[in-house]
Parts: sequence; C-alpha cells; structure tokens
Amino acid sequence: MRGLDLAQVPFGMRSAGQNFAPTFMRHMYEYGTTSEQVAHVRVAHSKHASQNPKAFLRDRVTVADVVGSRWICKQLHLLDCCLETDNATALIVTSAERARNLRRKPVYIMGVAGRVNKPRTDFHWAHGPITRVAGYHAKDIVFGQAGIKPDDVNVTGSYDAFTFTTMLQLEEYGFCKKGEGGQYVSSGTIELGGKRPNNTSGSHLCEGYTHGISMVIENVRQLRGQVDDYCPGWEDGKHSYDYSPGKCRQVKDARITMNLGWAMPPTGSALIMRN
Amino acid sequence: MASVEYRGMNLVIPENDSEWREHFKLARANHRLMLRACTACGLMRYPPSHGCPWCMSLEWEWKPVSGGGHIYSYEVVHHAIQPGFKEWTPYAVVLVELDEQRGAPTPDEALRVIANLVTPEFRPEPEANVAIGKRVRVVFQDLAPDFALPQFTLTDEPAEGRAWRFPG
Repeated sequence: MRGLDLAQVPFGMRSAGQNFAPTFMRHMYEYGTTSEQVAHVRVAHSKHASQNPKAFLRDRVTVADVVGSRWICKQLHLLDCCLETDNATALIVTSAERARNLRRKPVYIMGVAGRVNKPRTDFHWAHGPITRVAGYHAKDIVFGQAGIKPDDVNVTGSYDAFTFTTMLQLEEYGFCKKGEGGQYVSSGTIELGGKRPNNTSGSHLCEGYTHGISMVIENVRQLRGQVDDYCPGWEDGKHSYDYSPGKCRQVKDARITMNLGWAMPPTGSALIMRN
Repeated sequence: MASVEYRGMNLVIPENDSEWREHFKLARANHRLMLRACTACGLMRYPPSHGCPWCMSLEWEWKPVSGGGHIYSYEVVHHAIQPGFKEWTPYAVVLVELDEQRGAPTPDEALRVIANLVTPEFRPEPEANVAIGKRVRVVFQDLAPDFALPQFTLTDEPAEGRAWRFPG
C-alpha cells in the first residue's frame, strides 16, 4: 500500500465498516444513541424484505437478533452490515414529453443533488464534526430544487451499507433533529404502516447490494403503485395494504419519495421524485 | 523506492512521496511526532499533505508536537480482514485528538490521527481499557533504519472530559 492508505491501513483500518465505525461511535458518545435503537433499521428493512419475493434474505429479525449477532467491528454487529451480492439494476431517464408515450407510467424528478462533499474529502476523521455526513451539505440543494420540505416526503430510501448510515442520513436531511436519529429509526416511523417508511424493498441489508440504485427503482415502483409484492394484482395497482409477512409492501398514496445516497461519510447525493 | 514490511503488508513509499517519506523518517530519527505546518497561515495538518487544507498555500515546514492527546473516537475490530491482523483481534483503532491546535481553524476542527492503542510492548491494549476521553501519548515502533510507525499508548493522566466506553 502507498499514498493516503498509509494513514489507515497499517493500523488495520481498511474495510468500509472499519472506516465508518469511529463516526458511529462518536455519535453514540455525543448523542447517547444505542445499538438497540439502531438495530430497528435492520428490523424494519427485514420486515420489508419479507414482502419482497426477490429479496435475498426474507426472514424478519428482531432487535435481539441484531444485537445478539457476532461482532464485526465494534459497534457493528454482523446484522448491522449489508449483504454483498452480484446483481444488476437499470434506470431510464428521458424527457417528460417522450415518457408520455411509454407503456409504463412515468415518475418525475423534482430535485437532484449529485456528489456533494464535505469541505475536506481526504479523510472523514480529519475534518470535524465527524458525526456530520455529506447530506448536511446536500439538503438545501435538493429540497430547494424540489420546493418541498422533509415533512412532504412519503417514502425515503436511505443508503443502508450499515444500519448507522441510514440513521445518519435521515438526520442530516432533516427528517428528525441532529442527534435524534436513534429515536427516529426506533419509533416505527420508518416501517411499512408507519408515517414514512424507509427502504421498502429491504434494500442493502436484506434485498441485495446495488450501491443505492435498487432503492431508486423501489421508489419508482412506489410512486407508480406497482410494487412487486405478493399481492396478486400488483401490476394493476391492486394492493391489500396488509403488512403482515408475505403480503403487501405498497405504501398507500405515495406521492413524493426521496433517495439519500452515500459514497463515504463525506460524499453523498440525493434525489426527490413525484408521481 | 522504500518498502517496509509490516504485519504481512508492504508499506511502499516512492521517491516522489516526500510527504510520507519524511513523516516516517522524522519519526524514526527523532522519536518525536512531527507535523507539517503551513508557513503562510501557521496551521498544522495531518495527514502530511502537500498543500494547506485551510489556505491552499504550498509552503510548509515540519514542526514537532508534544505527542500527547486523548481518544476522540475508536473502534474494536473483531473480524480482521487483513491476514496480518488476525492474531491481533480484538484490536483497537483509535482516533486521537492531539493537544495542539484544538478548535482551530473552526470549533469543530483539531489535529486527529489514526493509530492502534498498544501496550508498551506494542501489543493491542485490551479492549476493556479503551474509552473515549482517555489520555494517550505517542510511541514509536521502529520498523526500518528510516521508518518508525507512530502508535499510541495510555497514560496515567485523568481523562479529557467524560470517559466513555462502548457498553457491550
């Protein structure tokens, strides 16, 4: 190894989890965030995956399952970490005019913040506060373009490389106050049936890892009313809204969705769509 | 090109990498932690970049610091992904905030350095002894005639603010 790697790798700090863990640890120290609170992200996403025939892990898990799973890099348990999978995803972006003639109902882009960085990108820990991630700098761009506020969003898709990344981003984009992410993700708000479900496909923690693109696709499905769950009439937009295992994962009346993308703590992107 | 073997890894420092070559060489020669300081704005930085991250000036000098600090954050690796670290698990990676230049140039900034928390024998400190706020000082592990790896070890000083350890 050489170059900037010399600042971390000789000390056994190389993987994504190892890179991010001091950020998560500092958040626990500053705000009193607990492992049990953050485990609710996995619980919610596993609930959503149980409604997704294409998800890799479809079993629902409990908070006890998460905090009882083996240590990877303290404070990260095995179930705080995402899957590693090979799969493919694609999006088609075109003009609204062209989209009118397509077979599928289009959804519309309201705002985009592409690759927004914290002021220093070399090392996240070299630039304070280390509990702040790129979303802090992206939120005014994307909400400004869309002309909406966090409260107007019905469904979120927050990058879940780890349970903690989802929580940090929901905070930075203003879905709760900074430091209250632990309460927000453990309140039921982010689960199907809650006020603002997050990652309704099960996403990186349970569905499969696609660097955030599958979460955009899922939000497109939500906005079309065509989530491919176990409801026999999903393609025609017929859903039961029964969120018990193996049933529905369509959010009722989803009008506006938001994707919160993550590259590293200091780099991110965001997307707001409507139907 | 210098190459130092450490825990099964090759730490490679090409001739044109003056930043790291001097960083590790000065650590070996003086057993003091030296940081690059901007001669335009006077602020130090780490890692030892060529340009000043605060004012962009390309003029700098090496400046010694005391090597004292406290643990700002940390992690304990149980599942090592680098083969050379497997026999070290569980080991702590610490983010040390140095005593110099705290709160500058903004209240959130400080000189922060990644290292392992080690015993005086350069073994990993047991995780029960690792906590945010605990005081540490730099120690140098000599790996080659022109290369020492800065690590940190606990001191007896009282903790900086509230000492906090991850519960579990």
